[in-house]
Amino acid sequence: MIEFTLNGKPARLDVDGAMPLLWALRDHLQLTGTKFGCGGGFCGACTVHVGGQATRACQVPVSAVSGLEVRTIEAFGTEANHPVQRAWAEINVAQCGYCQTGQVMSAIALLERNPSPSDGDIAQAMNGNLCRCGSYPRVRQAVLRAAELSRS
Amino acid sequence: MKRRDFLIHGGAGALVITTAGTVAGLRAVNAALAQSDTLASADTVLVMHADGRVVFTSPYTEMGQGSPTSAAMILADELDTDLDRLELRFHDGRIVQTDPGFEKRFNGGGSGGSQSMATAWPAIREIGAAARTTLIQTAALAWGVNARDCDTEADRVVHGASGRQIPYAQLIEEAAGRPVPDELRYRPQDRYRYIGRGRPRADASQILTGQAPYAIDHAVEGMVHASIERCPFRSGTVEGFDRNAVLAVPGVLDAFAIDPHGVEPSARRGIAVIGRDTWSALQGRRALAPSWSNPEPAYRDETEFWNAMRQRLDAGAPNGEHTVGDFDGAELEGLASLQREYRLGYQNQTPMEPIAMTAHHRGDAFELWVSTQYPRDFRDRIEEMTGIPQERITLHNTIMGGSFGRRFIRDALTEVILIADRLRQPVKLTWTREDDLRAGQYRNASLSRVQAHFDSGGNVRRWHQRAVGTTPRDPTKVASLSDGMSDQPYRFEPARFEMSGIRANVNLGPMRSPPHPAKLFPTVCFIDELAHELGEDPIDLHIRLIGEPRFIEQGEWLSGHGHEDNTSAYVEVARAVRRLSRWDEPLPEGYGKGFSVGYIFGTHLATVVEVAARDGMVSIERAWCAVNCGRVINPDIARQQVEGGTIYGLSSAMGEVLTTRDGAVQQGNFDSYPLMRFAQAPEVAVEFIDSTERPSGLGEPATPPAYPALANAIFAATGQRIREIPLNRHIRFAPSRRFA
Repeated sequence: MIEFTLNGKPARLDVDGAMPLLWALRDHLQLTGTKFGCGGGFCGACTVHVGGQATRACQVPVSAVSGLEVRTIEAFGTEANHPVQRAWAEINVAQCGYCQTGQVMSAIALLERNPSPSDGDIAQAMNGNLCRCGSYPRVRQAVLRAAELSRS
Repeated sequence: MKRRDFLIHGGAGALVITTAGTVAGLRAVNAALAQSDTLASADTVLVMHADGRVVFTSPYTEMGQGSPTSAAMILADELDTDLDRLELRFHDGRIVQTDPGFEKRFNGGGSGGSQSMATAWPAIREIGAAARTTLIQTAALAWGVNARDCDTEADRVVHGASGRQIPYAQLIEEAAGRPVPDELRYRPQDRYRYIGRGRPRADASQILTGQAPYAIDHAVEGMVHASIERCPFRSGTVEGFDRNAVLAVPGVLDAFAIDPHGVEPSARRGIAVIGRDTWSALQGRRALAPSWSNPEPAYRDETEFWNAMRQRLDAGAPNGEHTVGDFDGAELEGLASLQREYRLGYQNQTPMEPIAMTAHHRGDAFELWVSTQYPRDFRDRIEEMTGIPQERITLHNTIMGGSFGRRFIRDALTEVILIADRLRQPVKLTWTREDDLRAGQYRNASLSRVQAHFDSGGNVRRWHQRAVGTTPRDPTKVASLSDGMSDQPYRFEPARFEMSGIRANVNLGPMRSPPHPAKLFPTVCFIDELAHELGEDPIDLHIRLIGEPRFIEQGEWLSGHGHEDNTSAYVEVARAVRRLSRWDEPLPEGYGKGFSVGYIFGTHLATVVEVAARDGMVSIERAWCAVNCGRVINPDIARQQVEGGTIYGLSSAMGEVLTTRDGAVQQGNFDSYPLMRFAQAPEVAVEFIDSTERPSGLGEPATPPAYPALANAIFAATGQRIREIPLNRHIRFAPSRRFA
């Protein structure tokens, strides 16, 4: 039995500890906001927060989050009113949208630790999130806008 | 527009507008509607309910290009209804089967070829106008006034003289069952509220909160999971596997060979592993120890492959040929000449959402949850393979996590039908990223040779362009000259264009703007080289070679865009991007700009890319696009598509290629098939030529010009001329300086 805190509430899972957190979330906890894109840690679509750190859920066996705090996109509600989500909506970032929950999670983790990131900081935080639709320039604008919205 | 072209049905207290291209189609729709107790909105485009609801079932599918949102804007404006209250749904392919006219009017009943807005402009407006005209006539009749003296205002019919008005909803019962109006009354376009103004996608909020229902996210009670280990060779067979080892893996329920290849040549034979969850199915595959056979010859490696391509190019005797003027009799004495070769490797669409779908074969009924560009084709395949009639097939189509041509191919569908038939319980098939890269349907490889003879005045006196592509089937059928090779705007005469093919054991499929990159890259890079040879500015040379305005055949797509001729449209966007990119301003040391122009599926587009070189590497700093797509429906979405299409093209040109060894693809994931990353992406500035001409598409046009613009920019910045895609075989790409 693996026990951890998930989006502020206790979670218990009776699965193989080697199962990646990604599949535990999607198949066993019915939280599909965290996406499967590559399974190899290359694309960032599966980005969650573990102890506040942006983490690739496909690379973390669920046993490794035992006792830890895990946050998925679902932690931020259904109204898209987190400053990052509001900035993303304002700037029309999403096209197919599939990579965007991962992008949003990386951006939230960045801004929580660095409320006024430089372009270099943004690149470092966001470079792990692939987008096939080419939303990168808007992602950058949206991170800056989200920082603005968070500061005001 | 003929009366018989519309059906207005009065059942269930609603006004139903659909279109039918034939009397037979109209009758079929009528019959289908008469049979249903509740109106199946998925069967028709517009339903207006007596309770005020207006439901629009988009004929176009959503893959990030926003066509359903834009089509809804067109409808809301022509119908004069509140867009915020319009309910937007996706269709499931049934209407395409009952109404042959639907398919023709609405681009095959799906999205592809960048034709959604081009077809929506006449066809969606027609539907809106049909409904609005009917409602006006209904009100006028009730008031005893002339319909001509009535108008509409946001969901109400109004009679100006008397001040009377009535909401649409209150007219529905009366309107339903009325004869179709003989003449449709379109709204003056200066009254449009939505078209031409930016507006977010209807599903933006859902996407950002993780609630958007991608096919890969679907779950059904009692569902099991399937993952398939496919043969590495496109037509190879399963020789054997260790069934005991697989079944010993925790969570694995079953493993069996499947053969979709006989039904669907794009699909591969393989072994389906069934598990309680995705992870067990994936783990099960690792225990398979499969053995395969490869009955077809394949090239050992890249060297052998490209040698075969070159041999075919050298051999002449092309499959397809187009000659302009007296090519063989051209006098070449005293002329200089330039000849160059360009090559492009195989590439993959690579949408971020891997292919996934859930199927339930119940014996006498079939249900599928999927995301596809063309749902009708998927329904047809289900019926073909299962014998289950259409009225017992339920298909739920949803938003695609990217497609770029991948998601209308029926390889995965054929797989899941076989598995669902065997299991007779809900099963979700999920492809991995490795599956996507290795068992794909690829953008074709190509080798081109371009030769121009020119005089001392810089006039091209003879043009010769040859290309070789591949096919897994009959190589003599590789013959198409269009899409950027012979249908180009330059005044070359005499000229000859030739196309040939070799057989290669590699599946092909459409990848965003097929096959334009293979045709445009050689043409535009060569003109750039010629410009350098002549000491002339590349944009000047393009414009000079295009010559006097004239009309040229450009295949089946729309052309013109506000010009009597259409070559002017190329010149217009070339000049616009020159200005936009400040092409003529001096650049800092190590910087270079490259230019490209093209006509892709009805849209003229010119691109400039700026590159910065340092320490033997280059970074892509900025890009500019000038676009003529006629009227822009939704500027926010339009801009996104040009930015995104450009970045897609730059990513492909930079570093994407699939190579094969003995017929098996060598790449597997993003470590070996690298996409452009955030830090490598340029800022992209977009300008649309102001136009009220009918719209053309934007899903694909920005992609092909990015390939040569990037190569030309690298030359301008470094002096290094790269004639191969991917470019990173010859130069390394660094992050943009903005992020350094």
